[in-house]
Amino acid sequence: MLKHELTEEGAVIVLKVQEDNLDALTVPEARPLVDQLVERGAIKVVFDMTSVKTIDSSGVAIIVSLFKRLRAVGGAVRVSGVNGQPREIFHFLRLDNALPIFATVTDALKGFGA
Amino acid sequence: MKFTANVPGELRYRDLVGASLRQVCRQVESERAGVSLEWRLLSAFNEAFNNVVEHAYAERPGEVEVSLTVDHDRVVLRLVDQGSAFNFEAAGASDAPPEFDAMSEGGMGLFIMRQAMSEVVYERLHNRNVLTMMKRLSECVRASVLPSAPAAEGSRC
Repeated sequence: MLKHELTEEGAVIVLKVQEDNLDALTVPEARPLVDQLVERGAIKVVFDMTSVKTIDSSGVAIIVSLFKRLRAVGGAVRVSGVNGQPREIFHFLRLDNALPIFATVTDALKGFGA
Repeated sequence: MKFTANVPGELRYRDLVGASLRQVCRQVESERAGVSLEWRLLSAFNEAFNNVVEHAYAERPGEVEVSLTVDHDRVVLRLVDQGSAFNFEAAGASDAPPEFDAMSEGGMGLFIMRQAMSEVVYERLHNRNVLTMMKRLSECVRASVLPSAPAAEGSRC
């Protein structure tokens, strides 16, 4: 299983990824976690990447998948702590426009029902 | 300067080669003031290696030959494998980012390579896939050391 921490802040679930890399090697371990979150239905999730130093297209795909799947069932995802190489990859892919991205978990929780 | 490695086309070897490439990048950066290469080169390498493992060697495993050549004004990263041919155009060899609602890993990977490097060329030669990616070092100068440019966080190349 992907190293992570799940906490509940009011009505919001905060998923802190505790891996250096969110990539083709670690994403298969993240899929069951994402599936479990989606099974909970219309929930709000902050996906925190503060610990992630490197991401690849697999890592991006799992975040986009979580976002789309939760949106489809009335839920929502905010992303926080996107820095360094991941920030550049997000910029390449214009995800900094497509996803709600916040500097910190605290910022992401504001106005999100926490 | 040239680095070469032959490794099995399995994901667990990607980071092993990546660590060596990282060292070469850091040496280049130490020898050339203001040049920042590591993030982009490693991003392109990771996507290219993933493609070899997930597509070229999806059915039959094999070796990957990785080389990185550093010239005075550019670096050339090449991956060679003997796996299935890759349909470069069909995979989304576009300058436009994938549409958010249609994003797939394959299209994203190739797009990231093209964004990170100056040129990406795929060839099928003698039943081998040859992916050559070149980065001009002049495109890797941090904005903070360019004349009249404001220092910018996230300008690392």
